[in-house]
Amino acid sequence: MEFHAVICCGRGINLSPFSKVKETGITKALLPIGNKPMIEYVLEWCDQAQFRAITVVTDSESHEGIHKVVELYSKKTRVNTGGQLSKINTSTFDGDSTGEILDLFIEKESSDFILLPCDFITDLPPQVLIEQYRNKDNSDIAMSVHYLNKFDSIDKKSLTHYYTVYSDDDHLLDIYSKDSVETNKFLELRAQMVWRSPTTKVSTKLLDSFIYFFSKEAFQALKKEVPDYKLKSATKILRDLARSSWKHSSRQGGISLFVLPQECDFIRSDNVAAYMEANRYMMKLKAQEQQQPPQAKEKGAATVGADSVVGENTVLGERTNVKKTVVGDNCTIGKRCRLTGCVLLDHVTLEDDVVLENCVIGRNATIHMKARLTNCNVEGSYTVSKGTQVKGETLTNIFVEGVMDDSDDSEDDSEDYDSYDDEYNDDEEDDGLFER
Amino acid sequence: MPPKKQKEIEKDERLQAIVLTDSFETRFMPLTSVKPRCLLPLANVPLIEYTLEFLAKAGVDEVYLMCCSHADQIQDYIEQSKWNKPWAPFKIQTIMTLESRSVGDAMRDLDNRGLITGDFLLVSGDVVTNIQFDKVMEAHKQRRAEDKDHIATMVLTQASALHRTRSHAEPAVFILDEKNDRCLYYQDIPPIDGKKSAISIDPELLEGVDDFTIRNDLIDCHVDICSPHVPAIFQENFDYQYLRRDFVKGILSSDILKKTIYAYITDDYAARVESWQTYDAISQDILARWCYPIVPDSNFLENQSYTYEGQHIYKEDNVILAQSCKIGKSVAIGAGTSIGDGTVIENTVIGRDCKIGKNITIKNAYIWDNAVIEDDSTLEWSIIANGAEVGQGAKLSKGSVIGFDVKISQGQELGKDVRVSAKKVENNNRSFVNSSDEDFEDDEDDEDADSFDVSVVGSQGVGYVYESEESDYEDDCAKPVNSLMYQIGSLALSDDSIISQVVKQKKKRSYSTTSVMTDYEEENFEKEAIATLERALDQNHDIDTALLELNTLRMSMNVTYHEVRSATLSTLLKRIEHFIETDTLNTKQATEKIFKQWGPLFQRQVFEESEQVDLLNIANGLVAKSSTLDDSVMLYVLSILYDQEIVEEEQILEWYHGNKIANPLVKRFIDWLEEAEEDSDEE
Repeated sequence: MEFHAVICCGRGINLSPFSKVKETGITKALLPIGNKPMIEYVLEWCDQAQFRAITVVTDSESHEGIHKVVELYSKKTRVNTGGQLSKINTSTFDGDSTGEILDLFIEKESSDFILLPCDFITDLPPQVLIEQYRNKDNSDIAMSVHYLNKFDSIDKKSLTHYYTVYSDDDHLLDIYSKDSVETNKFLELRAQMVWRSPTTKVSTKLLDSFIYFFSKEAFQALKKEVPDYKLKSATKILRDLARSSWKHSSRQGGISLFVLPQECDFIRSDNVAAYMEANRYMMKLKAQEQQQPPQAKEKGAATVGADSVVGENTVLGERTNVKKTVVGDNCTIGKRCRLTGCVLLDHVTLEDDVVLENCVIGRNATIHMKARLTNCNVEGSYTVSKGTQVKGETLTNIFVEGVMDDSDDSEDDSEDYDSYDDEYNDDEEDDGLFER
Repeated sequence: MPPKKQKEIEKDERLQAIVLTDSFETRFMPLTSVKPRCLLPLANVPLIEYTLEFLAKAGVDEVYLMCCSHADQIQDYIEQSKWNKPWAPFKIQTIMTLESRSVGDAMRDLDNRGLITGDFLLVSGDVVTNIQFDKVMEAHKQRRAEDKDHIATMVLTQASALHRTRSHAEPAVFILDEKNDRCLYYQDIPPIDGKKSAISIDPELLEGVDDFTIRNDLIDCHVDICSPHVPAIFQENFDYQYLRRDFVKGILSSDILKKTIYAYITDDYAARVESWQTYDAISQDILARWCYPIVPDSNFLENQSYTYEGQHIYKEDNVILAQSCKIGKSVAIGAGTSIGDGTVIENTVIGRDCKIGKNITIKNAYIWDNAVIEDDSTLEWSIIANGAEVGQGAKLSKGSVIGFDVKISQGQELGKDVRVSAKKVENNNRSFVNSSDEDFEDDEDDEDADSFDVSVVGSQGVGYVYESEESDYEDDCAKPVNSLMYQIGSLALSDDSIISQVVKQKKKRSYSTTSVMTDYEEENFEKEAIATLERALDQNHDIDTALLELNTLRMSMNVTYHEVRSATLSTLLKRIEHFIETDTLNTKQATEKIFKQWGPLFQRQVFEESEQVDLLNIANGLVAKSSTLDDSVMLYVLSILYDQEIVEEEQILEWYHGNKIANPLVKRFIDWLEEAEEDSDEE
């Protein structure tokens, strides 16, 4: 396989308060989905394709943790493959933009190159993408993969939306973020582009998968067309490459655009809602796989649904009911608790009669008796006091009493997708005077 | 004619059609100074016939012709035509709307007359199409049922961006909802090799739309089905002139009207003869049978007798061809025409009773009735109007237009795109409102005074060169756009220009705090901004008004606040200079007067700390450049801006130390500032 896959582990700003953005959080790539660090899914996916090389890029702070997991993964799953698979390298990087990651490889790399996020789960085999990439037009230099969100429960607002501009022969032409359009008050498309591609499509639904294929030529074009690529995010780099494909008097290296087929599932856990959905998705798969007959159980023992998983050394109290839920390792759960559609990370303590619905509970959090939480996010090490009843809030340590801080979700711009503020943006801060 | 009409009546109310016979353009000048566009022959049939033929097929019951320029000629023509006979498929009526200056005026006139009873068909008098109208109507009705705010369906034909029958004169994009072809926005764009611009779409228009398409490959043949609301809306919005640019865009971007317009996209043939280029392209399409059943051998006129002879050659009876002349592909020749020995003809339409001499080469020419072409001449991509004469050995280059009754004497060579008319054509909008009689009178007087343009028509020639009005203001694009010769517009975009644009944008972004702006756009902005501000100063506007104007300007030209600050400062400083130079006020008084009043402008131009420094930098730079202003101005400016809290202490110090300002007066101010700070610290 000619490809070199590079997995970028971002900081996961939109996964706050569970990612390393907060002190109590976990490195994004190591956040468990179905009690498995999310990066393992990506590695498994890569191993289906037998890439020439795999490199995991992390910041130095989380390097150690990720390296350990990668080593463990290699030992665990790759023993029997007889050395066919290439070793997984890890490398550290402490820059601000993915452009700098590209810069690490741009000189050395002589083959095609795949950029991957550390947070996706899909049932689509990598071969589909690879074939798609191999079948691209000769003049194309890169391929960008997009998908449509199929999960209704992920709040639309939490997904970063773009105006993806592409030609009717599926070439990416331009990308604008909704935010930049909002601040500019206009979606501004160059007339020139419309001459080059008379039927131009624009989608507001397509999402960026952060899976990008680059060819050698793309790197050359990058150096020529986007001299300041080091400062930019990968999406922006791709946008600039796409723009340069129609900017010149002759058509130049296009970026082909591939939209994942509707039949496949693809989810990126890049925000809390999606993270929760990814967990549920894994649980659903698990339930489908092992249709185990209901075990004869002791009277009064805890019930764990087939669509749930409970980690090691976790104790469940009497008559506790667990449905569509992932419970991490070393948790202590009291009696008569009801957990539905939740994700509990490791070392969580629930006292008796706690009812949780659609919640994510961070590491070492404690929830006292009779608390009832719906659609809440609880930061690690947080203590929910007895009898608390809240809905739709994010409980974080900064505020002593569960003061809501819902705005966390909308806080955007992780390293992976700093918004595409357009050229004019910087000065467009409206002073409110001219709102008509 | 098709019997469809009866059916329509039975099941539905009358279908009315409004034909705009006037295009309110001057593209076919000088020919349209004599005859209206809709009566110009295309493939030897007056243009209006194609439109009426289409309406007959569409099952229209009533046709109203909105006539403006040369209305009397149109009326006469219709009265004589088969459409006025009792067995005509529809009732036809000409409406004199002589005062109309635009489509908007015509629509308002229509509304005043109260003729419209239901949904009607709006077409221009120059459409050539074979679209199946019943399907369009069906689609229109279906959408109407789904969306009661639906007021118009535009019929658009799929082509390519540079299709030969697509208007190169008025390229425009349609933004359509992918789901149901609802038109979300419409915008004119500059031609392919024109200047750079952007299609700006208000995101509000896109609300609730998942996917949309931007189409730059549609031929807009101006066939619309409109509801009776449409003329009424024109009435309400008396400033609407154009059907697309004003009306469609206005409806779509209005949040009050809440009306919708849909597009119907078809693969059938539909095009408008609206420029020389489309005249040529459509003629060739008719000859090549692309728009069947619209072909010469359909003999739309009652007395025509064209027969098809293979290879796209059409002849009427009574054509005299010399033995040795060669008729190539795609040629139509009218009755009574004679063609001499050794003449070669290709891709050409020749009218009736023309005399074509010997050894002539005619390629892609359109020769109308009664023209005389003498021996040994060469014609390429030319139009020879009725009664014109081309002398022996004359040579007409691509794009020549020889007007009615013009005489080109022997041996003359005409350059590219030369247009000649027998009467002098006044180059103003009057020409299409005036009735032709008046024109003639005017011109007769002139004729004695002016002699003909002999250099072009020759010593025995008759004719004046027509200077295209467009060339005055659209000089760079007018030529390729409105030339008979169809040129494949190449994407001749020089890389340089694009790169420079990109660089410019980068600059704006990264150096928005320094002054390195040299670029025509900004210069324009500066000019306009300064003009705006001077007006404000002169007329003593209040600050808010001035700010509003400035900001509108800033947004429309898309410049940064840096440019705004720079323009504001230079206006204010200039004003101070003026006071000093005229000895009205001394430096201090002048600065105080101006800045105390107008300084607050900066409150809305300076937001961040770095911008405060930028402001001071600009001011300092401008003062340094001026010969009138001395160092003290900077001191006064500083202290006023400081008092008004536009710049803060820290930023003044940052600016002062960062730029190593060597201005003793400013230094004093700085010293004072620093002392004051220390004092307060001590306290």
